[in-house]
Amino acid sequence: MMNEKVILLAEDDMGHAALIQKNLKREGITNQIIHFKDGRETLDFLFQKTKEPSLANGTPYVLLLDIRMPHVDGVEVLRQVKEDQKLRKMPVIMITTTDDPREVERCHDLGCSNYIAKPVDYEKFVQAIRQLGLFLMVVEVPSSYA
Amino acid sequence: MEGKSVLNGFRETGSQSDNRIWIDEILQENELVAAQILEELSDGIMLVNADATVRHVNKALEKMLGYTAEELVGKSALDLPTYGGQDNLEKGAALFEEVLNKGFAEPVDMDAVTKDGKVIPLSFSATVIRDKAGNPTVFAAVIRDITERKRNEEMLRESEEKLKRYLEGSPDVICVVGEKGIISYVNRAVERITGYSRDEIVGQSFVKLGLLAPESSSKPAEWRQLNEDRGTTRDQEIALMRKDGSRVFVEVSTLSTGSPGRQARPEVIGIARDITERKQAECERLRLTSELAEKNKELEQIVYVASHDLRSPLVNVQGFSKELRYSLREVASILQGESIPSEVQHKISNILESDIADSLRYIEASVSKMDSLLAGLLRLSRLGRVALRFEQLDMNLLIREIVEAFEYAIKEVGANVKVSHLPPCVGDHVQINQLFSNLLDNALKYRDPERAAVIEITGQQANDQVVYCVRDNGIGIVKEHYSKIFEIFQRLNPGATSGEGLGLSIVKKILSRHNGSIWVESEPGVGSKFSVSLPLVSKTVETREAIP
Repeated sequence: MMNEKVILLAEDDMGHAALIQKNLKREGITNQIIHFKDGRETLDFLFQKTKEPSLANGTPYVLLLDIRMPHVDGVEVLRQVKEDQKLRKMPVIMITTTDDPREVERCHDLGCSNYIAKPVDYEKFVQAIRQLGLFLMVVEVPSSYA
Repeated sequence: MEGKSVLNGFRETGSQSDNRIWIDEILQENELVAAQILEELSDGIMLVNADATVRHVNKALEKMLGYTAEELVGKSALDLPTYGGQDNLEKGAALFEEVLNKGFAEPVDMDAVTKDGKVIPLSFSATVIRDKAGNPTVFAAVIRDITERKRNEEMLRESEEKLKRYLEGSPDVICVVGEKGIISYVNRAVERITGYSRDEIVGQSFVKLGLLAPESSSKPAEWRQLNEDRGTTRDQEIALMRKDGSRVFVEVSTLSTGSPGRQARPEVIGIARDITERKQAECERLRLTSELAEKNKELEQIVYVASHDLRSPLVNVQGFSKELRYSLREVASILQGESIPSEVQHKISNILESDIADSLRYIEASVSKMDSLLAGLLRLSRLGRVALRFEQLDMNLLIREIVEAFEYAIKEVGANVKVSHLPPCVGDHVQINQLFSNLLDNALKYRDPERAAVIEITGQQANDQVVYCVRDNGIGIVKEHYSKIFEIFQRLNPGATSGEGLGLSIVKKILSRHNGSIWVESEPGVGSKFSVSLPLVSKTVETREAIP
């Protein structure tokens, strides 16, 4: 089951993206990860506005979303995903530097599945990614967006 | 003589001599009555013969002048001792002349000198009595003492002058406006306030002069209505246009004169006070307040964004430091498996384990220091943005909760915390809890290791405030540091205590949002007393929303 899932990672900070990928790997998550460097790229993929790569029907996706990104931010991506009849079932996990309670609440209100703060403390960061790995293993992911 | 007299008719009805006697009797009788009337008049009467000698002086005139009739009768009316001076002699002569020419003389005011030397104002009028040939026989002068009238006139003039002085001396504009807004009077202040001269204003209307600024042009009509309804308006603010085109703000009160019934459109008195300076100060205050609010908002935004955005690169610095450690470990394990000369291996492992590891340790320590500073900033900025809920707080309950939460720390240092009965106040439960937690935390943190810590919490109502005190017997604070301790990231004793140096900054911020204040009294080596004032009742219910 786990192997089928494709992880979509929207993260403008290359370092953060690399750290997340490295640590997921260390946790034994070997799924395919597609990286987008901002919100617009992510939306283009999700709403099939570009040819390659594009959302494939039949593939279960999990979206990891950073909040602060240029052009279109993570909250806006989350909002559009949750408003879309087909995409709304896709699990969305917010991974962001802020632990501002209001921001967290806003994302939950919009319907995110999980919210993980990127702690500066590396041990905590690793823990958070481990938690994410566990979450990714158990989360039910629909595979049809048609 | 016959045929001309009005009495001729009598002669035909009886014998001539009988009639003559009868007529004489009547004439005598008439003269007697006339003389009696003359005597009893309150006005002075002087009869003067055609040759200008005084023929008769009545009682009233005797009394007026102080001379007896005998003293005056027979003397020339043109040269009486009562004239006093050349001026009056001439006036007297002129009066005579006028009477002769016209048969009468209009009243003339003239001073007279009485027998005892007093000067009194008199009014003279005169008429002439002629014989049948038309020659003047008697001049009759009516003389009235006008001392009373003169005194009244003088008093009126004085009081008018006084009133005018008051009006003219007023720093406020006082004006009288009649029908169609025509200004009939305005005092001198108008020149200073409007730049127009009085001559330019009197006889004009405010509208015609363009004295009213466009935004105030409808006001006079409103006032007229108010005046008609209530007779007065008070403290209406309007803008006037000065002659030089600049604006001047005045506060106007108006008052209707007379009752509306008596006069269809009574005059209106307007009093205008120059409040330009006050207005400018008000505008300036508003501008500064909004500027301050703007700056505050900006600052909070900057702090928020900075602390937030600065954490992002820190994640990388920390994360990749850790990655470097992993790599180091890998390199070390590879080295062990390889057949490298022990000398080289020793050198390399020295670099790996000592140099690089040290560098990483410094990097990591700095990162976590930076992280805690940023977290503190973020917390402080959030404090200013979070919406508050003001309510009546049972401070006995609130402090008990805090003391319970600190139970472990209190036991650990063996502190004695005494709480007396506390009056309630109004505040946000969460923030007031935070405030006193910070104060208690400080009292525990800055205790004197030489003696057992004693912390007392008391409270007292003072007018519409409640002042709570947290007193400790800790290390104390020197006076020079009283204000510094409330600054952000300031720490009294960085080596010996933990913390970000934000405790009192947070306390201060909370109090500023509660209209409260804090002050400290302390003696090094004896202890400190922090006093916090909070409102007893809610004055302003703050519904400040968080900045997105």
